[in-house]
Amino acid sequence: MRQSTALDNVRPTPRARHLSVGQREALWGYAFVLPWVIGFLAFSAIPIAASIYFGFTDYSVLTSPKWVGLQNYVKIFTDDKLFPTSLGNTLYYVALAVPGQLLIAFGAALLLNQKVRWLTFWRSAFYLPVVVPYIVSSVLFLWILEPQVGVLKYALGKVGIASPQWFQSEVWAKPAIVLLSLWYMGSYMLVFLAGLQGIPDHLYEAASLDGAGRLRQLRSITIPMLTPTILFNLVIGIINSFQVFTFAFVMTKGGPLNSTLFYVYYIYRRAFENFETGYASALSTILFIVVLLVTLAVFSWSRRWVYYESGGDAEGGR
Amino acid sequence: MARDVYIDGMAHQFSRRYLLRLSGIAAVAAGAGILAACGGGSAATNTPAANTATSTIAGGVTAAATSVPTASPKAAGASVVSPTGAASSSATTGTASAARVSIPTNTKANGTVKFWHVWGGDRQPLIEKIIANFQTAAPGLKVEHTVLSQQGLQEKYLTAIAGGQPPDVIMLVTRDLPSFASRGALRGVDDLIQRDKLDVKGTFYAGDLALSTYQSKLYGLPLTPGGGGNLVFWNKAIFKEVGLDPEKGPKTWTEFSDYAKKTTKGSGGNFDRIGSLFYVSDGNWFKVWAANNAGELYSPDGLTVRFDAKENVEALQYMYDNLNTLYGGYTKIRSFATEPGPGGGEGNQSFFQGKLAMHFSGVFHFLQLSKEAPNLQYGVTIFPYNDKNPAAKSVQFADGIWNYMLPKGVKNVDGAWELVKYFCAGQGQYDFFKAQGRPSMVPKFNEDPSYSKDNPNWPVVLQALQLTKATPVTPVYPEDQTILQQYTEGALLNKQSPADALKAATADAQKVHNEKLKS
Repeated sequence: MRQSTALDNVRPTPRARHLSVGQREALWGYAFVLPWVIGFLAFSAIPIAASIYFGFTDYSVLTSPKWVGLQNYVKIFTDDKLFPTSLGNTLYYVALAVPGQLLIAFGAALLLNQKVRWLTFWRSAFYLPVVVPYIVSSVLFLWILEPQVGVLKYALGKVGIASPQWFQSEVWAKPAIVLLSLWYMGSYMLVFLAGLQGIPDHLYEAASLDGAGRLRQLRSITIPMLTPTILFNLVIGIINSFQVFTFAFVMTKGGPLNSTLFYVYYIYRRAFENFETGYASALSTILFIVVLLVTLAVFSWSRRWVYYESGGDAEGGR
Repeated sequence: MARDVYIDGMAHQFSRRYLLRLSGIAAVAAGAGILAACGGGSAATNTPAANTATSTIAGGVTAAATSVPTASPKAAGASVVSPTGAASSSATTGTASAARVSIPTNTKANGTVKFWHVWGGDRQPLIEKIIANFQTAAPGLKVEHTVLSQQGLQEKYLTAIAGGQPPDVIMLVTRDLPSFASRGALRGVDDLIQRDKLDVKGTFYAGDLALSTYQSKLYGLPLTPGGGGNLVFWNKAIFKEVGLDPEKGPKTWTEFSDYAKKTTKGSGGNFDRIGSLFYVSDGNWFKVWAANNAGELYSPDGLTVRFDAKENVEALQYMYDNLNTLYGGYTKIRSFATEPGPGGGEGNQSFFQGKLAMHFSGVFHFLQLSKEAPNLQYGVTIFPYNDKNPAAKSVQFADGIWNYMLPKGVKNVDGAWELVKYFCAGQGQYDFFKAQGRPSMVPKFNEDPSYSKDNPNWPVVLQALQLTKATPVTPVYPEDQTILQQYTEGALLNKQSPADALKAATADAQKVHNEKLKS
């Protein structure tokens, strides 16, 4: 215990002598977290507070903010056609992308939890897309889904299926982006994999002694034991997906006919194309509240299905 | 033409061989021929102010150039090593000058100039060469340049300016000029023009100056001409195949529809080839069609929105009717326009592959064609006009051109201004655009035969440059365009009739105008 040794060696100054051991430890604790606190204040808390404040102003970055009260919010809710459109597009994306990503990540994690050859290679391969920048995968998918010469059109053509127009169609553009998002399930997969490896072997041994098959083991051991991991991935997935931006920014510019105008892209447009930073800040605050509410709802719902091995179960079951 | 401006700055991939070829031509031009032809140009701009001196920029080569014979083989040989042609030959050998470009210079300017631009990709070596030439010509100045992506360009400028650490020179489309200038993001340059007695009217095209002016003030100098953004390129082989004269492009809307019909191959949604796209998804070509029907988007002061004016409705109706009659609707041929890449496409690939007979593009397309479709036999003409409307004539719609501007908070004003002059009106302008085979901002360069002899379509370019029709641009123009794009696309997708769509677009845009412009 290096830290406590260091503490013991500190010769108390006359003032510090009045402090109890607990107080001194607390002081050291604060000292150690201080860099993070400063970073948090400078780069998160203060900007968030400023953004909430700017939401009540008429502000364009270059001019000083002018207090306008609730005017931005009134306009958003009563007079902004693109607010419901963009929020709807984002909800659509969240509703499809999050379950899709989690299902594929879960399936991949199950497979990669087997004892097969070249396991490290397979795990790396499945994780690899995560380190590909969004902008690169966006351009890659534009080519794959290209309706004239794209490889997917070619492949579908081979089996006699007409390829949709994907990014050219207001119906298919969103599903195309969801499809692309599935490629990025690697980090969820990794968390699932860690969760799977935390399940004690004796549970499976006991189950197989009792004659439970693989599917039964999956249903009665793996999934219940993994519910805290599922919850974690679900919450992180929802928060990430609400912030979908790059795909629309790079590939579709929100089109066709606003079908891929996602909420954050809409905020960006207002702030940096229309110079309405105050209005965009108000939109951001609304997104913050929406994400907060959805997350709280997920947590409250999770009490019904998340199983905590130690203690949490009893609380959750109340 | 908005779309063109975007294409304009994109990194076209052009081959080294092409550049070498150009550079050879440029070197041939680098002799006294241009010097003589452009000699008159200096008269307009040669009164030095107290702290300035008139000089020829490219390293004081005036005297040297006069004594070097035209098309010196040595100079030509020397310049082939570099893609910048004339520029490099003058910089490396010091014996041949590209052109006598006499603009007033401030010899006292010194220090570092931070310069942000979008000349990425294969044009980066070219711009770097010209920056090097500039530094040779202005030894007191050192340029630190940064290549930016066009994606989020405004955002980058905005944050740099708001943060008080802007570069000294920025590259901005004048479409964004009102929104930047009205918020005090730019430093005007009228005082500098006056100080140096720079004759801007005698140097640039009037239409381009108008596009670069906001509330009677200039914030930089124009870099790329607005005319020449609305051209129709046609595939000669296809014209021949269907019995059309391969040497004649469409002059009127009637001819255009007729040619489009004749060159289309296939039916029922399965086309091997189409005549024309009529529209591409960014919506800008609607504005071009409208302008060629004598349509106006705004009242002259830009405050009143007139998207739903009769001429504009007719233009959208014409597009809609053709798309429906020829192809059974816009959706059936949409994929001919796609090019994977930011912002979709305009049908370049379809044209290169012979799947599109008539293609909309601009003067920047020559270079791209030579690289990506070197064997394609094409013709080019200015945009057709509506022959059924007596008031209509062929024009080149323009809502923005590139400028080099000085942002608010610029640190090295004198240095920045020297760079802007060199690139927009001086030797840098000449070298940079000649090497790309495209017209210059300065009429005198374009009218000089040696500037353009590698481009057989130059008469069309000159014609187009004369036809610039600038539309009034206000601080809310970017918002208007988003609205217009959505409604015109909606009309072509059968969501509303063209008349109703433009009426709704007008209402939406007028609301923005009323809220933001009249307060």
